[in-house]
Amino acid sequence: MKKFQKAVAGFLAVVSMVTCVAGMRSSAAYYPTITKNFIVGNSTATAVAYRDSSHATASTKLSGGRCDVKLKYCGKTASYSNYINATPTAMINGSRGTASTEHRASKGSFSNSTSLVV
Amino acid sequence: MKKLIFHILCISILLTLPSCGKTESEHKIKDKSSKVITALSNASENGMLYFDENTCNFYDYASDITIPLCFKPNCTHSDQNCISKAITGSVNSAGNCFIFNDCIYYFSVNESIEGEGRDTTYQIQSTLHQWNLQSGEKTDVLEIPDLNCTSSVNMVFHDDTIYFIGCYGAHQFEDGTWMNAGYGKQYLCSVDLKDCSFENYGQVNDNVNASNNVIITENSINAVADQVTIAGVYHDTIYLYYNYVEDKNIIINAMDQGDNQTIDWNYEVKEFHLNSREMCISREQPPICLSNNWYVTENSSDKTITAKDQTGNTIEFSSKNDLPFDSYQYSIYNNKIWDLYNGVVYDLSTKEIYSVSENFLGANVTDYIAKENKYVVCSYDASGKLIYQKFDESSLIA
Repeated sequence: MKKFQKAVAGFLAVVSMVTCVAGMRSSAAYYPTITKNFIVGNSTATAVAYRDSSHATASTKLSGGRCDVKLKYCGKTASYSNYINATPTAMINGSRGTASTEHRASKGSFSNSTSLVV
Repeated sequence: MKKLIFHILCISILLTLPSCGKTESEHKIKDKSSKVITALSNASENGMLYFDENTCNFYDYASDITIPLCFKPNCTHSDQNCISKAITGSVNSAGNCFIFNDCIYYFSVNESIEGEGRDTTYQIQSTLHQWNLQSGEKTDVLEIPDLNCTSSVNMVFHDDTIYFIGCYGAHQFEDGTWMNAGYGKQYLCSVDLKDCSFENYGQVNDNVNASNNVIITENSINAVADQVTIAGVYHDTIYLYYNYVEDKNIIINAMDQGDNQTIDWNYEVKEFHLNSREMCISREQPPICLSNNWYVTENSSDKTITAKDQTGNTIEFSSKNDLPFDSYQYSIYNNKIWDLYNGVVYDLSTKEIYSVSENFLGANVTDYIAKENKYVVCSYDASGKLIYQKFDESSLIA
């Protein structure tokens, strides 16, 4: 019985170590990116938010439209507004906490917005 | 007899040599000699390049069908080994890439902050990638230091050379943090694709007030519409423009009131002469659309559109447009100004104004196929997906 318990304990220890290593590996390599499409009239705009160990970025894209983007990260704010036919991309360097983003796109009389957290 | 056969063989080999490399006629995509590349219009002689969510596509004019942009033999176009899918991870708009000799080119940018705390430097480098559509071979053909070349609003392809905007907009705060501060200083650049030689023709947005578009506080940067736009080519000259305010408080007040779309901008237009390769300030008003033969401006106060030809003759129309100057929906094809957003066509030959069929309201005319006398129209389907189709003029005009 003791041998069986030792074997089970050993097995669980190995499993937990493997899980731990795998977890560490996945967290080390995990750089969150969120891409979200949102409808503006009869067009589709794309919001992208990204963060890694050194910086965060955010962008808004709408072909043939106007775009705004706001990025808040590490107590700083970068915003671009009223960009026509362009894909404004805001960047802040840092390595603390989450980044929140706001995206707005408009085309003609249509307008829509979305926000993301990475 | 043997000598004769030997000489015939030698002559045959000599005649075959020039076709060892692919000639223009062998390319599946026939390059235009000059064109403007925008997010909605990246046309070649025989088709249109565009992106949907997961695939880079080529709309072939002759067959009237859309195929994935990949000519690798035996490719099933179903996984990430296919160029048309793999490239969408790096490029997501037809306005950020171009095709030359059956290769697709695009820029990527690598930004990094070197050092610790306040003693850091911001490094930026762009790379021009080339992807051969027939072999699938990918090559980095050029490194461009200190510029972000991925943010150009439109590009011009002319005589085997691509013209684009490279920018540098980084700002460092007192605590050492780096942030992008709008598009920043923007330079007109080119790459000659025959030998991948790079040229920087100087800063475009060099007006003393151009930096007023960016408001920097203790812990924030707010940039408003500070991008340089490449409008197009008229009379062998590339026209570019940007907007600015003379007083920074105009921007600050607009932001406080949450309305930065009604700012009364000043515009500066620059012209770059393709023959002399010199850039200077232009006397022209910023154009709403251009072709090599027509320079078109809009006067929003008296609601007129004025088209000027290469000899300086002008045609004036009453505008049907209610949007501000930067109403992006105009295009010129087949001597007509197309404004599908407002459903109007201005005919530069007859000086008539026509209405567009209701089916095309909100779409864009993105190319004209002269030999078929058809227009290529970009629109969105019910799910918001881009589609390109060709139509007769009689279908477009109500």
